[in-house]
Amino acid sequence: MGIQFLCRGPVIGQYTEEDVENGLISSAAIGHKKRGILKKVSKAKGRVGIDDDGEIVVEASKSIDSCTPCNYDLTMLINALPEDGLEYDVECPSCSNVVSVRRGLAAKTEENDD
Amino acid sequence: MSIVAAELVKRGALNRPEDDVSSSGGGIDNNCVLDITQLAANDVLRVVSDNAGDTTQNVTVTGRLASGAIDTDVIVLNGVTPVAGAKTFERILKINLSATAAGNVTIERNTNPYDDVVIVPAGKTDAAILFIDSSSEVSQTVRYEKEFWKNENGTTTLNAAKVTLTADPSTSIKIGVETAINDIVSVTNRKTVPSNPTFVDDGVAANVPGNALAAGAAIGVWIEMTRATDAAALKSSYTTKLEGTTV
Repeated sequence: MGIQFLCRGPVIGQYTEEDVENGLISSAAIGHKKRGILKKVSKAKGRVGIDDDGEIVVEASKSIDSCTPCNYDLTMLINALPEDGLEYDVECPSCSNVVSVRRGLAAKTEENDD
Repeated sequence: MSIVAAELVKRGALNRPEDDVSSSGGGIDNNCVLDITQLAANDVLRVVSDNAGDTTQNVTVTGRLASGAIDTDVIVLNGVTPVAGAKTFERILKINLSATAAGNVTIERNTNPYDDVVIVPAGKTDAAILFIDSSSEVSQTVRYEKEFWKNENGTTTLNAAKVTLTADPSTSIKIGVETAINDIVSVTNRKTVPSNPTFVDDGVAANVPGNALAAGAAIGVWIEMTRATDAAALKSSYTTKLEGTTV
């Protein structure tokens, strides 16, 4: 069974207290790299009504930044790398995130290269 | 029954080397938790159970003193009454209970607000960090140790299961997911590269083989730590995450 590798997206900043307050992450992630594709989403405050077209609407209190993983499947690109134990960079064709990869049955450290 | 987050737990491997010659990896050690939070400042530790009957177990704390020397402090549990140790540690390396406790045993700083270092759940005996005593050398050094993520739900499979390196503040870690569930692969020592996994950094999520982690199953995750030539001393951490969907 093979392993599938999905892109998480580029680094777009660091998680902050505001992200915790917005319910996007737990406090343990503060200061860690925020990865993904940035999207503006509306955070509802809770007032619900029906508009002129009969649709249920929720009043948006503010727009917040949310990021979602890129999720591009990098499996083929990663599996195409040589199994030589060396580090390679793989660039996601979708979001340009660069991933560092080391593969190898014949893996060797730089120490062994000498 | 739906899986809750607390049922996705991180456990150690049976072979947890503390030098560069002992074997690394192996099967899961269900008695070992890997949730130690390092001290924000040098401190004495204290131990307390949430079960009054836990009065006989010795809690052996191993860590580095401010001098850098590795030392141990043995503290005897006294039920729900906190008992402080005698030694001031700079960092914690591992903790061992001489016997399982009936309650959850909290090891915490002995300074208000008594920040938790780790909670050893009832029935478990060990807590540890990886890469104990791993110094940089005259050439780049790459070491490999293993952790396990386990689905402790009794009946429900974690679907779309994937493992991610979510934090690597020192930019020295890659993870390699084993190619089989419940594997027992070891390497000769922690400088030996495991043959199965592909190692990736925090830019990728790696699916668990078969995309599912059945009830009671565990997936081995090799942790690769690279230290540059003559790198300065480092006290850091990394974070991995197991996520998925549940009915």
